[in-house]
Amino acid sequence: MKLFNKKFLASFILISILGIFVFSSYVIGQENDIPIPKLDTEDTCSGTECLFKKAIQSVIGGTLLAIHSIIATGVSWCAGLAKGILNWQGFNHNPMVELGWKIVRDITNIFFVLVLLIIAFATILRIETYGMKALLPKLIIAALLINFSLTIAGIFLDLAGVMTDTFLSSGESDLFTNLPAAMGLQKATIATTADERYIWKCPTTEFTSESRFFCNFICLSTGIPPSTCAETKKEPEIKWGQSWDVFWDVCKGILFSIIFTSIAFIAFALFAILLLIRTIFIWLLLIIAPIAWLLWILPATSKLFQDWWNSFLKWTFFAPIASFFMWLATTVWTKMIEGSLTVKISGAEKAITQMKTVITDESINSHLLPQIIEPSSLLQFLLICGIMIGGLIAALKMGVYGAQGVIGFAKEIGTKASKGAAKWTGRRVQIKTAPIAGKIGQKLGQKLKGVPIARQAGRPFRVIAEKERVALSEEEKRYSNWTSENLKSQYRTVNPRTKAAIARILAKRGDLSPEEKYGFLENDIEEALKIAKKYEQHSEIVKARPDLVPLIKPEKNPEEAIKEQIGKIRPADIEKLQKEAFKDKRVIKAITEHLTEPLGKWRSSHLAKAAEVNPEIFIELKEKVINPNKEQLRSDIKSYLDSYLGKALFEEPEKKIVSAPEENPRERITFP
Amino acid sequence: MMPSIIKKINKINNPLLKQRYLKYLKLPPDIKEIMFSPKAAEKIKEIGIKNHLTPLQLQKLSYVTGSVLLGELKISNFIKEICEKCKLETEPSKKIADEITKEIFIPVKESLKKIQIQKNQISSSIPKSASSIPEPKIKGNIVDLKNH
Repeated sequence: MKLFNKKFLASFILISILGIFVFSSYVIGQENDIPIPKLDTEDTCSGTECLFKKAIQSVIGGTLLAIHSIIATGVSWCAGLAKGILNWQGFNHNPMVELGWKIVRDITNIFFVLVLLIIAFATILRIETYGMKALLPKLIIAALLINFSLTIAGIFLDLAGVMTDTFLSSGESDLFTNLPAAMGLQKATIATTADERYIWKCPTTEFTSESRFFCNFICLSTGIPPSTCAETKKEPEIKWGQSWDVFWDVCKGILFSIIFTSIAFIAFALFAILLLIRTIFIWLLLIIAPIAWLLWILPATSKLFQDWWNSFLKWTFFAPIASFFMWLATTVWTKMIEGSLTVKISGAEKAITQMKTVITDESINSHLLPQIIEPSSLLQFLLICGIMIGGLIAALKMGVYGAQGVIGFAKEIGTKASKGAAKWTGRRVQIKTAPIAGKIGQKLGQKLKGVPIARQAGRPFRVIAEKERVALSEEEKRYSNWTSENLKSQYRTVNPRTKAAIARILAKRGDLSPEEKYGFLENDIEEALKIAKKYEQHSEIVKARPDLVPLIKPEKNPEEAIKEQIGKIRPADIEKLQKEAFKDKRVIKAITEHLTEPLGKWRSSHLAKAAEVNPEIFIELKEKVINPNKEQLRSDIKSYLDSYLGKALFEEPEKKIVSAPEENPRERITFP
Repeated sequence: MMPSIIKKINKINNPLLKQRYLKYLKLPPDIKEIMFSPKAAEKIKEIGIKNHLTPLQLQKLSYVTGSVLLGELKISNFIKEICEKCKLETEPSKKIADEITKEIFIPVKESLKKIQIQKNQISSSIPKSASSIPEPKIKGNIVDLKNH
């Protein structure tokens, strides 16, 4: 019974094992995603030629697989490094930062006394920009905020941290940790370990070795026949292909994979390096934060404060922006190789079959190598790589622009905070809405002009706009006695309405030129023009800078808009025209047309006025318009330029007619 | 003087032009007005056409006239300069000079006198060694502003 039971049990176990094998092989066969067409992959060639072919194929293929393996490991390592740096969020709680910041804060507090002295002297000497009225509120705010500079910076860092975490741990698992596996790189790497491997065994001593020669040597040394080793085990052998065509297809796949994996490696390496730089920069910026707040007080150094914020916000928000692009690229990559994206692999069937002998089924099913052979998916891989590298560059750029935007916004709030929040809110609403209210009133008036009572609907809006225009002209009066230098240095500290007023004053004076030393730049002029346009008070500014007309008339063709504006310039306005406008070729073209065309609107009086009151512009006109178009000038312009007396200012004394070559050597004129 | 004009003149790179512009800004208003005036230019052109001058000669004539107004050229050398620059004989030069005097210089004669006096003072203040170069003797080409 016992024997029966034992036999029955043994039979049952045997049948079960066989059953599992059969079933599992059936299931595995079913699970294979890609139908592999049966091709004759057995290597049937023989002889020296065959050996030579095999050797070459093994060297090339093996090298490619090894390179692929190294790069894939590199991607994994860099992604891990990036992940490690990103996970480290406690910038402002770092002991080094805390200690450094405390020391710098204490030193900075000493300098407040110096700033107070500067303000005192400036008030005595009546230097408006450094006076008590302008700087004392800033000094008080800075003195308070300097102690919170680390906390304020910490808020931005935490915000960036939260945003970064969204991309790092999006989806079901941690993306960066599983990145190489998700991208199919690990599978390809594992597969490449399926090397050609033979094991030799000596029948007498049971000695085994991978080297046949060494095994035979040991076996022969025993002296007992049979004294040669026999092949006992053979690991999966790499069959590079019967024909060269198939071999090259496989190599192509691996090569493309190497290229794209290399780009991914570069992207992740760059990402990791930039994150490392970011960490160092943020540390340094946090330590010197109190100094930055101190620099904010004085107009001459306030640009450095802005630079500090620019750098800080740029590096802080680099991490979430770059993480987003890396997440986007890797997700698309993963989806592609998982087959979520529809990709046809028609032309790659042969190569896939052949690849099966080179790499494991798992790698084939990871789709990385087969997908890469397909031309259409090749393009997609290229785009993904573009997103990876481009994303990093974009993150750096976006950080800069984002920082400027945040600073601009914060600056406005800061200026207003010093003047009283409640008062500001009311005025701000008025300033912002008044130009719009004016437009609404105007449009309502136009639409309802036929309706007797309803046409009055726009009146309240027009009244608001009119009040605002009056306020603007009052601002102009208030600042009219200020020097241009003071106006320019104050520009960035005032509200939008005052900005428009300042720009109008400068334009009327013919001094609307950017001056870096006063922090008055080209973009400030552009901004002032846009603000003035809201009040419909932009005409003076565009007279000075006709090249900026396209900014306020985007609906018009820029060239036509500029020409129209140039045509509107009267001789009396030439004084206001700025040299910077001549940097725009469209302006030069428009003036040339107005001086050459029969219906051109510029007369000799324009040139006369330019020479009289705006020598800079007259010189520009001579160099860029008159001299290159001498022959095309209208007769009245030519006639003026031939005989105006002011020529004595422009011509060199050494230019003597005696020595000058004459085009038409005439006889000396004698009169009757 | 508008500070913005001074600022613009200071931006001029050519030192000679800069110096001349500063000189121009110091001129009496009536002279300043005719320097770039299209009307004055028209008068010069008419004189040029009347005396059959070529465009190049006309340009030189306006340059010489402007130099007198600017105080760069002595009025006593006006005819000689017209002769040289415009390559004309003395007689037609004298005729042209007379016409220019009548049309351009006479209306601003008081201011022009001041400029010319200043010019003479500057010339006489130069040390003898420097001014010992003999002045070219010109007979009958001195414009008599007094009798006009």
